[in-house]
Amino acid sequence: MSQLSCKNLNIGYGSKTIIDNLSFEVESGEYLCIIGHNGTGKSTLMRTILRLQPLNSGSITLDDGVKLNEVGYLPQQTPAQADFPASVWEIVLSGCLNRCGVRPFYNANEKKRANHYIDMLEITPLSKRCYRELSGGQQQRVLLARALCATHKMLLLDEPTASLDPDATQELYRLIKDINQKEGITVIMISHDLTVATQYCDKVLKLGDSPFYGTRTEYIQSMQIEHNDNQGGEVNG
Amino acid sequence: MVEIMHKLSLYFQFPFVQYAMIVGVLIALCASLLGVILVLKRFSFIGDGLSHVAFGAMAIATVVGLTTDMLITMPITVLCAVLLLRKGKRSKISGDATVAMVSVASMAIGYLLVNIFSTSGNLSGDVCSTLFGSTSILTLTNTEVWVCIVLSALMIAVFIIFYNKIFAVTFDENFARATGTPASLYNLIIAVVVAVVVVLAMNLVGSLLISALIIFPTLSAMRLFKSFKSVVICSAIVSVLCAVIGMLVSIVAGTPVGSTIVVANIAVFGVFWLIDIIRGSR
Amino acid sequence: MKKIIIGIIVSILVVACIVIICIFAFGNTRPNDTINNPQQQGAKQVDYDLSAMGKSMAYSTVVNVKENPLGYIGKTFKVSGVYKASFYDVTQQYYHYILIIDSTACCQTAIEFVYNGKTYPTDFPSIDANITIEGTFGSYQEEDITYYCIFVTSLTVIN
Repeated sequence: MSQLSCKNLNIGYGSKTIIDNLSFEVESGEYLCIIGHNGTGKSTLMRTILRLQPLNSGSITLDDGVKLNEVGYLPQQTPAQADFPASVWEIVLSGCLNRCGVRPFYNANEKKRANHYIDMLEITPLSKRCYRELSGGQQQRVLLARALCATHKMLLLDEPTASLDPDATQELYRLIKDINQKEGITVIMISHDLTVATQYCDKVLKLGDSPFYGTRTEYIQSMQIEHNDNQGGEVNG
Repeated sequence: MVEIMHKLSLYFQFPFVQYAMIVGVLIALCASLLGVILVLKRFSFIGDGLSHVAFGAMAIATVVGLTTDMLITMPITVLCAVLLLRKGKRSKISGDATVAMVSVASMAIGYLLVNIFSTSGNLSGDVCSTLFGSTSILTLTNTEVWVCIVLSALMIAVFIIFYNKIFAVTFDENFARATGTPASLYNLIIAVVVAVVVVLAMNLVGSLLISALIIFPTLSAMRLFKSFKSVVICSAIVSVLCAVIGMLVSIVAGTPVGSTIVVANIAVFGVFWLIDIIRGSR
Repeated sequence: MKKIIIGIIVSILVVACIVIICIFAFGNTRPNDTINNPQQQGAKQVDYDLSAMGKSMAYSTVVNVKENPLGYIGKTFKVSGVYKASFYDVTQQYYHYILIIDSTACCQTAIEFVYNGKTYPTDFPSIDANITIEGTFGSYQEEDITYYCIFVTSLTVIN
């Protein structure tokens, strides 16, 4: 039984449909990359999976014992966060909130968990620093640590490297792949960066005009075919 | 200086002055805690808007003839707060336009009603007193004192208990919602707390100046401190200090309580801002 | 740097606390034990001298006295304000009031006073005159209603 199963999804805002009749599955421990041009509904799809957005029709099933409050989410940055006075420690710890339930304060387990992910993402020296003073790459790592605190099963990332320089981008991809392999956490990532699609992930889901859903190798092959077609066209034309 | 101490010691014999200090400190504390949430959620104007709604509600209470106006003012303000804040970031009508609309409408309707129906001898005096709170804190009835103390204590308790949840919902509502925290519920709680504190604070600084009590301590604290907890603590200390100093000065010098407290807040903000600039240029 | 700032805030707080504690400590002594006020030397000491207070404080005090009169019965007051009088048909008598206005002229309140042995209008000043009265706070019964007032021992007109 897959961990996430989407069948015949119809997603949109009000009467406007952005995605129609989409079906795909994600197994436990898999790394899925969602790509597509702007406006093809990648973020909307992710928000719908997270119940932040209503679903027009179709079904989304989370299985293998994953409850909605066990999913980690790294959203695109919102402006308000940029000058919020909060230390890295406070932000990462807030990821554990969904485990607290009615309990008002965090217990020792949760603090240990936060420390574990801070160490794993190599941001330990920053833990007392203010979030707004960090670089873009460091901020993303903080938010990733927070997302990891919220889950031990599934991680959803929305264009995590959008505003990062190439070095920071590579670092982040490496860390995410590490997490996927070492901790066995399912990763679903939206990216418009083909490097990820062709390098790190297991499966690719492409939205838009020429949709695609399959393994990474199949995707690379289809890209090759498309490339050759174009070349052939130019030679003949 | 001895003169002033002597004068103050004379004044503090009166129970109503002692109560005014206690209630004033509690209200300032609540307002500062609230301010941290509102400023960081980018809802600073809500305090101002709700205070105008409270003014309108108070006008209705006066017209109806209730002596304890909080019976009407509190529910109406809470209702408006819930309607305005409930949607959080997902409001369809642009947030600030809605608040402006409701706020100005309440002021106009309130003032109109009071003019048409009021039997009070000194109409503009009553209105002025509600808007600026010149001596309201010193003329509280015993019931009002107890209501203020109990409600303030309750609001502070709510803030402490829900501290972590409030932080999560304020910092990143989407994330909180996505990871299963009932963000709408906490937004609702915050809305109710805002309304209650605004109505209480009207007694201290009057309708028009409530925003200052809510906003200034947080802004001052944010100049110098970098973590949420330290901003909250600093904001609370600054607010209480300014309220105490403001009340003492106004009692001795005969200045209106509300404005004096706000001026004290402005002074502290100025000092902190200077320290921040000096520190930044090093 | 952060430690210095915290230090500053804490020290302001400590100073303020000390000031407030001193105020309460002084405040518990009886009014007659307080330091001699130069303005009152030679004058009789009163329990509550509202004429020496700021106008807003005097106003607030009067409002509170009217709100909780029982605690003030038997205490001596000195009040400055505006003289007002009115005639009540039922008892065929004149009633005298002193009007106290706060410093912003926004709010006003009046307290009744009784000047035994004096007749209106000969022994009283003109309406709206600025006066200072001294007397004892008490109550009287009229038509089954208790009225609270100041029983005046001296009345001076201020210019």
